[in-house]
Amino acid sequence: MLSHLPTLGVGLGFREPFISDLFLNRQQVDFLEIVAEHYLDASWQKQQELKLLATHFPIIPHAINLSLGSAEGLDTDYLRKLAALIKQLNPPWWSEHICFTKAGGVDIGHLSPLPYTQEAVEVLCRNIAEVRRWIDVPLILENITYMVKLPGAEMTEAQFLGEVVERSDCGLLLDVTNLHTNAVNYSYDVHDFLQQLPSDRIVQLHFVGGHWHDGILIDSHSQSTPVEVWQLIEEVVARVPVKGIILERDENLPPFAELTAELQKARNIGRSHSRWG
Amino acid sequence: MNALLHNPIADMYGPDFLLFYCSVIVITLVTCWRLVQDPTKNHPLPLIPAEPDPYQIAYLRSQETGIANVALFDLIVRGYLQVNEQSISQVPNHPDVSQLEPIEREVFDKLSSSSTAKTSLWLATESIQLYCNAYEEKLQNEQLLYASQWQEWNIKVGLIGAMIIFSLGSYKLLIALGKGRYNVGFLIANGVLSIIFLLWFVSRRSHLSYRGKVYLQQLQATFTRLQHKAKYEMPSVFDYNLLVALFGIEALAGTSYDSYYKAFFPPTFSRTVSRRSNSSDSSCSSSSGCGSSCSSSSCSSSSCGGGCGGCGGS
Amino acid sequence: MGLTQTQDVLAQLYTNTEFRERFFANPETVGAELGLSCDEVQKLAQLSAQEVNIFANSLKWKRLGEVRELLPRTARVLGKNFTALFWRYAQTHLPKGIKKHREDAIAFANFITRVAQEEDIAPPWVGDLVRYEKTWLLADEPTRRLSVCWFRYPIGIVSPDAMNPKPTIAIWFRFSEQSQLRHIVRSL
Repeated sequence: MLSHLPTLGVGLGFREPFISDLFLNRQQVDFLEIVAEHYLDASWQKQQELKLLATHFPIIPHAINLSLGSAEGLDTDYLRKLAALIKQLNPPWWSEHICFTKAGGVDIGHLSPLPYTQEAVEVLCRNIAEVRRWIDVPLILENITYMVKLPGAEMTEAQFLGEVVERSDCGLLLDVTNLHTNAVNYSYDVHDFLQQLPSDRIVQLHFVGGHWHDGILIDSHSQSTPVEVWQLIEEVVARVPVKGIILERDENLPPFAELTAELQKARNIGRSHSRWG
Repeated sequence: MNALLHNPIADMYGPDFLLFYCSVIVITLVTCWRLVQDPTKNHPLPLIPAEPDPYQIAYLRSQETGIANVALFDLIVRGYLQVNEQSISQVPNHPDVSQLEPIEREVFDKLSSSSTAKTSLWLATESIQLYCNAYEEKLQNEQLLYASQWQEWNIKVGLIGAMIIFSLGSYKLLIALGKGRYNVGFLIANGVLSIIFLLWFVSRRSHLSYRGKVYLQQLQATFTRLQHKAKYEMPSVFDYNLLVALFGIEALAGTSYDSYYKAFFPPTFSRTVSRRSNSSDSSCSSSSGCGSSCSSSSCSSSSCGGGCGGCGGS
Repeated sequence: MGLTQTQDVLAQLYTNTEFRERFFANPETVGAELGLSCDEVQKLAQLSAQEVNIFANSLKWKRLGEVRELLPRTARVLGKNFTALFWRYAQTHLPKGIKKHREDAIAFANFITRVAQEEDIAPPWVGDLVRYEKTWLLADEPTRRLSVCWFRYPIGIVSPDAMNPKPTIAIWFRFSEQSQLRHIVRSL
């Protein structure tokens, strides 16, 4: 099923501050990823913005607060609104994270890691099955960075990710920056990690740069992509027929030409491995 | 003859006829309103061009004056013209004029002597009239301008509507006067006011069609960030031209070309009503994605050097 | 312990400073209060307090960053006091929902208004300023057509250096859900 997904190419996570430059450089961006939450309960102006983007670019909705890993179940109201948005956009796929963000009436406010256990896999699969009752567009799941390592792991992170996507029959949104960040902070080998992942499930990549603070690499989406992440991209794209790659620059936005330079680099990598034109 | 003098309308009691007449007026006005609806109302908009033409957009917004504005400003940005307080003149050591587009060359040649900003704009507008036809035609083909044949149709509809109101009203007026009834003030007032309103309604026109208005709004929303770029970053010549094309000279206030803005709008002018677009004001926009919890401006604005988690409350 | 209960505890550890301090100071006692077994408590106690603290702090910094963007003038005027006030406020309130950052900013603005009165925070017009910014957020709601606010100081008209008491009215209005928000501010 995943091999039939269209190849979208090289794209950008949409951020409103660069909308003018985006349209003046449209040919350099193949598709856009939008943060779905920005368009839920949206004002009329935000809805017009989304219509404008959708008329000019293929759009992939990227959700951040569905909390697929919540053992207490999903927020049905949020799911309903998300389903309506995805139906409106009719994208080739949409994405969320392997994490939880809500529990016991508390909205944590950020993506929080799950324990690498069978129970967590079951919870994810159960919630994803519920999601599929509302949304029949293919779902891909992203690996997150984490600052807390939860005890009681029954498997490695890579095995956990693999188990989740295989059991739930989802694709994988491999965030190579997150992979690099976790590998640096927790001292593991990225190549071993990649070997353990089901590469036939990898649909899309995310990339960007972070920064160091007090000896910890922070996934801040605020810097240009470092050489180690470019190497990872090269490695993955060489092995896997990835359908699309997104530059996820959120903060410290540079002149747009810097962003398009990174997109061009990603495009060249893809071209050299005949992934996209 | 008897039928003309005695029929349901002629014999209708005064107040009843007024009610009937008002109903006819309302129906006529509503019918005319439906008939003069802009035919482009439900048409999809054109795509934002990959390489927008500032002159075409300027014509869309303000016709010849818009194009003249852009050409004039372009010459200033590229060093062919200069602003000295309230006047605009050619730069003595200006670059080679062969690099100019024909429309810019026309404007440049027209401003051979120093003149006030408003006079310069007037002269520039005069000089580029011939070039406007091509832009007008392109925009007409896309149905972004209000076509003259639609206006002719509107006038026809209005005249027919006015005839209906006039005929019915004057017929009853003659009958009433013939019967010695002189309390016809309301009848005359209704008729006259509705005809005036109808003729005003059908003859008012914007140079833009509905499609053109919405398209212009969409262009302005898409490129609104150019206003921020002009104030705080380093826009290119093209960026500046597009800015002036979309938002006029007013958009140059507070930019590096504030003097040009002031040449048209001397400092005594002040705006008291401000409008705010949802997306452009920093008070209400959020750019957070799904990165690390330090991905928001908390890191860059932290007083302890850009980190997150290392300082602040525990 | 099921994942549900684990996540409940984790959510509290990440967002509730007092709970977190108590837990890591004495996991057995807090675990017993929550009805956890010894094994369950032992498992949770394996969490690195340092890692949890770093994550918890980063969550607060993230909230602070979002709120700062939504109340920029107040943040500028209060400087470091803005952050200090936010840490106090953040202990008592956790936002929820799709527009949680906006909700957070409005709740924090109410907190500042109250504290500014009670504790005489400088400058004296900061209460008006935060109410002004809060009303911008409220008025921005598309269903809201009209908002009117009175101020003791000419907020929105003069710069901070020239802020002398002068009754001021501010009106926000829009003609329809689709039209732009308009704003008038006048001193009397």
